[in-house]
Amino acid sequence: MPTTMLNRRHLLVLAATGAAALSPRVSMAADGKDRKGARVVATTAHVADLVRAVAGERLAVENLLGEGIDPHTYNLTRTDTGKLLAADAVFFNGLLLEGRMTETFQRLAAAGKPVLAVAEALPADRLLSEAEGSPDPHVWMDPTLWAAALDAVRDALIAFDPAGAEGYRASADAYRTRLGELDAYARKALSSVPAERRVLVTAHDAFSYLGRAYAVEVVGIQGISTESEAGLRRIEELVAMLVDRKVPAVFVETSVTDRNVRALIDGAAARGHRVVIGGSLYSDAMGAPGSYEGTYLGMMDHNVTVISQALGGDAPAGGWQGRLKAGR
Amino acid sequence: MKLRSLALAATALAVLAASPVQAKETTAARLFIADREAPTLTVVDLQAGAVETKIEMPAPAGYLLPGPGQRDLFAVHGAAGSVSLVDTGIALEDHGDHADLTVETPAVWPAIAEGPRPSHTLAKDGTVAVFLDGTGEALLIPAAELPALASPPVRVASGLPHHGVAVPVGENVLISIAEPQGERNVPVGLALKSRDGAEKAVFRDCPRLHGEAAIGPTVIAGCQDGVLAVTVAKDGTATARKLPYPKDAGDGPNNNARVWTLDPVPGMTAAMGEGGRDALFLVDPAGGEISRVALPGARVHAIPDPEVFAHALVLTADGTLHRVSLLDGSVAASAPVTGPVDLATRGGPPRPVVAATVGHVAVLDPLRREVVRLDAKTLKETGRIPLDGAPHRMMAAGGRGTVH
Repeated sequence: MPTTMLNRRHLLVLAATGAAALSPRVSMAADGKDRKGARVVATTAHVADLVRAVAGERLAVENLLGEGIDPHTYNLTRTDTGKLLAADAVFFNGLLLEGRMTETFQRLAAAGKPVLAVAEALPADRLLSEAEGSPDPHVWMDPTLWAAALDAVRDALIAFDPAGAEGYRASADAYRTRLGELDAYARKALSSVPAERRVLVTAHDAFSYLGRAYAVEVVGIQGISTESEAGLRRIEELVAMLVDRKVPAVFVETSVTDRNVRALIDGAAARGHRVVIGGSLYSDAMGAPGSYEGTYLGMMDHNVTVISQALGGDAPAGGWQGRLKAGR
Repeated sequence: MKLRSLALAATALAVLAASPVQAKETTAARLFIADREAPTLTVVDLQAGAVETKIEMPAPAGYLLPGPGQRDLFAVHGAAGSVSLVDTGIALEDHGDHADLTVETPAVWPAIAEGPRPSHTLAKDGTVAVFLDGTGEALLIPAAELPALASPPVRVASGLPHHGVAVPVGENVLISIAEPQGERNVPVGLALKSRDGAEKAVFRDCPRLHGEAAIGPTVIAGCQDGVLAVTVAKDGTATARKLPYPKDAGDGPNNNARVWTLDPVPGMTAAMGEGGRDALFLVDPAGGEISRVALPGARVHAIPDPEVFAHALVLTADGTLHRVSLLDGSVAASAPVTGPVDLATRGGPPRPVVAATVGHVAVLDPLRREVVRLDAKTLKETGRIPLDGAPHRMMAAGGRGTVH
């Protein structure tokens, strides 16, 4: 992991004078330019989705990391760097989710590029910490927290493009309503899982915010970053837990190797307890572009519905809006 | 502790007087200049624009190289058979939302490694590797033990003496391997070895290997016919791919252009190297390609720009320093610095050297025995510092942080 500069920054935006602002709540300064059609680059699909939810058609939003790409370990290519340099504004998650790219964003910000670390705009007291003390970056897993990030994106876009303010406010309000509806569905679906079985075992620790929001015990085999490794002792501890509590299912992730998950299943079977793969969850990446699961709302709907069904809850087959495919 | 320079002391006092309880962000920057003939290291205070001190070394330094951290450099005394650690005295301590800057007296710690003809010396993954051309061995030293070593270095053999390199990768090391070609042993690839010398993988496809850089988990090495990129996973398995040089130089064949040195570009997962007489190569392992960046003239010396993202500082043979985009070759700024540089004469006088750190760019002109200081943003000249002796190598060290 990169070192000193990382913890120091939240980045964000530069005033028209070119001075770097270090507060995560500073919004992007307007410079008088007409921003309609401006190019905005976001790192992950979920950040891009959030920006699009506010920007609508007014800005051209592109995400760098495609389906199934792990932001923890991704290395920017020269082409990616060119896109970032050419962008009028850059949005990324932050809190070291994009581990190896963080220094690039710091340098872009220092050079005068409007840059927003979406997760770093959230109140510190709402963030969870990992064992080493760094904040857990997977904030989008809690729709109410993502709604707070929505406000930060809205404010940033208004400052970046004051002419679009009315539209941004309206879009953000509409999207906030949808996030509230998603939250209500998730609460209902996950609370229907019997308490003793409400354990979510996945490849890496990406679901703690979901766990906190909906009273689900979350166990990641690896740590918060996919660059960490799971030792043999860890695997043995988890097998014992699965057997003792008769947890019926564990989950794989679309952007992370399932090697460790399968090791758990084999270990539990050796002790006479059948554990199935309850489904594949979206953690650091979303579904295919253009698909329902390729949107934040669809992605969360998928995750909540799959978890609920696999652990014995009574979420509907088609999920929240009846749009989930069968046999996922 | 030796006295600090008046300029640095004055800066510190000014900060304290102005705001006795408030911390202020400030900058410190120094140049370290090695002499070709004398065992001395000249230290220049870039803020003050003057020579600060001279430090005795065990022997003249043939190379000055980046050290194991932000604070230190390596001085390699090849003929004398040793490597020194140069403490630049400029330290940054990160505290999350700010960094504390401390400026102390620079110092040289001699003989952190000894052996026949040390050459490439670098630090990665907490280990310093010194390659001994005279034996073809790598000395591995825990960086945390510097400068006073608790135990002898671990030795890993390549098999043949040659001008080579070793790069620590976790608990293993990638070490150059050579083959006899005529009267010389020529490096032809890399071997991944454990610290007890067990060979784990061999990648022999790098004829006349020279130049190396580490970019995340990938180590790249310059070859006659491309760049070898070796990625070592956490479980110690290694994979390699060869990135070919661009065939079309834009204005003709690439005339056997190749990289001889590789420098990681700050903020990019890429490295830059030579690309022929008037170009650079940008090596992009993640993208799997090498792109050519045309320069506005014949290249004398080029370094990645530490302050302007995705740019290089390039001195061309007409004596002009340029700031060049590594993505499209556009020139963002230019400034005349030295007179014309003779690139044609083999074995000619040492050539000018470019160095840069926070807020400052400097060009060492060995012929005129002076350092030209330039503003890092505009490249406008801010002064010239005369030197004595035979200066030939230069590195910069600096930091921007809070002084309490």
